[in-house]
Amino acid sequence: MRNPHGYAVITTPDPVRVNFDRFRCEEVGAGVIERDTFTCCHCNRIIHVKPMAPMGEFGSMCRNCMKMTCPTCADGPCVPFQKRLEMAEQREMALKSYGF
Amino acid sequence: MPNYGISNSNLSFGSAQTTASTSYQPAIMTQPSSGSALVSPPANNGLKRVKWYDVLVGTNGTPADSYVEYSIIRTTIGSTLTWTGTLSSASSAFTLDPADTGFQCFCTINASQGSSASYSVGAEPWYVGVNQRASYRWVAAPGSEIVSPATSSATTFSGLALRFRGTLTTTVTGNVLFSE
Repeated sequence: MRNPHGYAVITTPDPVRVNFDRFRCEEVGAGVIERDTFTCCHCNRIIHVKPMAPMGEFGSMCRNCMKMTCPTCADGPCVPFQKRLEMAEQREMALKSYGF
Repeated sequence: MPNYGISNSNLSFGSAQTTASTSYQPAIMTQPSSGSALVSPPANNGLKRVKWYDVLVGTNGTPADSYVEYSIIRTTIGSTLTWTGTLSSASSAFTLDPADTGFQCFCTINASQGSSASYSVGAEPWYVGVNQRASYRWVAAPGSEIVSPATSSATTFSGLALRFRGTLTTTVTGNVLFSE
């Protein structure tokens, strides 16, 4: 993946099945397994990317943000996570400005 | 932006690691806080966002074949804090750079530090289910961390918790690096 948002490493002595993100199970071999991850620009969710998999299998791209989204947010409205954080913090900021 | 490292080790302030069960057990929890008697330093420095950028999980029991589910969830612990863990009162012991001050957030490890019924769960930003023989690590690139908003504990889902469940009867280890 070009410009991954993160990196996951699984170290296992035996071949195991891994459930990534509640979306898909993958059989991985023994040893060290590496996966790139991206962070959904709308909900901050971490998604593991299967190498060489088409984008539709693990997410989508918001044509407004031009960033990756998770499958859950793929069909939703464009509300960037940074905006959600600011909305959540508005009340605290208002109280602080009033001197509370 | 200081960085901190927390693990649910037995060595950290004598908190016993929680044994896994078929219902989710919390391992590590952070909740933005403006500082209080529970937090060291006790000065009110204002609320800060907590950003988890490194998560390492595994088990430290006798190896067996069973499945463990690890997840990070957004939490609300309410205005009455019953998770009166000892960790936050010694927050300066967890800085990665000794020159930094302790974390401002409210932080607990293991269910033994408080009632797990005292928090409610929201969205799940990270999940992995894997055999207990395996260990897992995730590291975020700068700007792609799991972030919790700088709001008080009573605000809906402003905290983060690493939790686990499975049919294994041993304890589970977790390590989280975060910045504030």
